[in-house]
Amino acid sequence: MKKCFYVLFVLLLAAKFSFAQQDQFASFAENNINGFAQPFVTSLGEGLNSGGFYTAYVPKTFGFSISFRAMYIFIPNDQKTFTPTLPPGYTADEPTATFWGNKAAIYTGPNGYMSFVNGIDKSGTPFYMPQITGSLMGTELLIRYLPQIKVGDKNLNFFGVGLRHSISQYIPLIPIDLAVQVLYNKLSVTDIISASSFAINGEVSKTLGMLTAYGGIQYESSKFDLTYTLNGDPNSPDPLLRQSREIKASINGKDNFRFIVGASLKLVVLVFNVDYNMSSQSVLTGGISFEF
Amino acid sequence: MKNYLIKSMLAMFVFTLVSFNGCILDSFNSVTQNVPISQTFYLSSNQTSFSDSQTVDLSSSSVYQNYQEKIESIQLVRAEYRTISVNPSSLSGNISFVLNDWNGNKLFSLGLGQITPANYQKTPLEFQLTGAQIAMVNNYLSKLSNNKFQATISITNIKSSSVNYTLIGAVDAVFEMKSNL
Repeated sequence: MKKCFYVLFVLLLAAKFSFAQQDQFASFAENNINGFAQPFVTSLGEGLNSGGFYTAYVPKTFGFSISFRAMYIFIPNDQKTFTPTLPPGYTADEPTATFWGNKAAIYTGPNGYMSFVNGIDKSGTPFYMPQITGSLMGTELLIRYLPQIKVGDKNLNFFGVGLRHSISQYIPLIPIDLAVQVLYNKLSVTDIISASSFAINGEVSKTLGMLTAYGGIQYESSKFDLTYTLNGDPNSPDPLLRQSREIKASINGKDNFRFIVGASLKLVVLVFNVDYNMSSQSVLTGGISFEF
Repeated sequence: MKNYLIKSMLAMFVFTLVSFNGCILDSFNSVTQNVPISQTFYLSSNQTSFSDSQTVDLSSSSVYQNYQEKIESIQLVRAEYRTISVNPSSLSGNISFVLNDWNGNKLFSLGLGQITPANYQKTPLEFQLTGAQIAMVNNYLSKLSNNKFQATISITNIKSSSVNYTLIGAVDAVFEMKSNL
């Protein structure tokens, strides 16, 4: 239980994941790894592509903020199972668990039973991320970065960068704020994981006193390159699973578009915000920002 | 007023953070997977009944071997009978299956009835195990050093178009194994 309180950043999840991935993925050959892992990649993409803004206002003069973003990603039921590809003689008459799913299905056929690893049985996952922004002349630079972290004998690296530009500054007397933003994040664990995400969005907000209502539409993508060793079982009914070998897989997340709606409250130099992101996996984002 | 608001919002933020912070990292501390095991039986005779006994050894599975030192629990989930080859194909008989623990104590016995083994080459015959039968096996497996069984297949009341007959069959089982990482 106490480990739960060590969950501070998405990186820790990735670090833990990189330890466990060998055991989680070791029973999947190339033909089924995508179905099993794609929902996790989508979650990673959803997390990394969240929390990019809490207002469409970008200061024309100098601005600076330090933020802490907390997200909760909801895993829909249809991403907890997938239909695997099975060897001849076997029928996938029921789906099996994805990474987020519960029990793995058991299939029977002319060479006996075959099955896969269980999922971790979760309906959601928290993500946390620190970020800083600096703005000048209606353009804001966002930086997400953590120093290299040792994960066993591997190194974990993470950085993210975003650029946001005010559009409303070019439209006189417009009663709302408009902005566009691009985001890029990169996460890697030496020789095991290389993940990246990209997002571009359009933002709108309206401020009334301390309160700001905001929303946006975002196009995004995420990609996950993974290297692991298949634990071969000479007795497996699936010929693809009989020999141990290294597998390199490139998996794209299912995240493409999201709609964002939220509100923020500014109290002196502190801004609290919460928004809901409707996407392949919906995300609830909350944040505290210290800004001036 | 603003101080009160700031404190309230901060408290709410921390509360939400802790509430939402499920033990997701703990999920990576273990892995649960299904371990399929197959044991082949060779039956050849010219009598009206015959049987074969074999050792079912969980450690024959490479998956079991990989995690042997880290197993937290292992439980029987399903079992089935499968025919690998039969000669003559018209052979039929009353087939029964007995599973004993390594000390010879019976865990369960199962009568499959009068069957024609040739019918179960492509589609195995699922054992309809009762909760009590599975519980007997799992109770034995709860001591993790218990990883071997004695299994016997018997055929009686054989009906065949040939005097000499051969049956090669297998009993498959799936065990759910939870291992610490």
